[in-house]
Amino acid sequence: MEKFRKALKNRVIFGGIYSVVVIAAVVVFFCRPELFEGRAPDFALGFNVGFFAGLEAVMAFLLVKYIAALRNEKKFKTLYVYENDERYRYIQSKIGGVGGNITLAGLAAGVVVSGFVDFTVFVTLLCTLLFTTLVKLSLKLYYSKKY
Amino acid sequence: MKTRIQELRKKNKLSQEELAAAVGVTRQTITSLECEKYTASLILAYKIASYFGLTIEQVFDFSETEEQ
Repeated sequence: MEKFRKALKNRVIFGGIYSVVVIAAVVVFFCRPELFEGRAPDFALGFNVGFFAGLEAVMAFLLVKYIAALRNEKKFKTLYVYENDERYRYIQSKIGGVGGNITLAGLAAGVVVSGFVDFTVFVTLLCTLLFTTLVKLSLKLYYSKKY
Repeated sequence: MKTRIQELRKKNKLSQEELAAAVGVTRQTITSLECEKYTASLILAYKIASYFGLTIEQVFDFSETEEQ
């Protein structure tokens, strides 16, 4: 349990650092828009700001949850049981495994189709497919040696 | 996997929540075990059996369990 408490403290520290950096970036974006103008299409800039703002909201929620757990023993134990529950972990590993395979299949289909439509999209999807496959293979090797 | 968890729990007048807290899992895990949707790990099976003062075989029926 002490290991989990330490892990929670680390999450709070890194989450806090992440939050400060993202909030600073968003503030700069809105206060000094001229710094970003012309560097990327408006849609991409808008997406980035929205994406990081959304991520920041999730991070703030998690930080509140972790800090509350660190201050309250009952909440800490509930969180510990939830995160270390074997069924929860089993579900997570299933999601990772099956989700990864579906993603690979989707990317492979996308590569084939985009080859007839747009070369840039084709290369982008191909690189993503290769990278995802490489990550999957590396993890397979790592866990095969570990267990 | 068939289990006697529900039967033993009722016999001991325990709620799913109480059993879950005693063996360190969530209530949903106990529900899934009772509904035969999830197969317990060896450690969890041991914890549950020990909690009721029984052996694993007396609580869990592994005879019809398929590989997952």
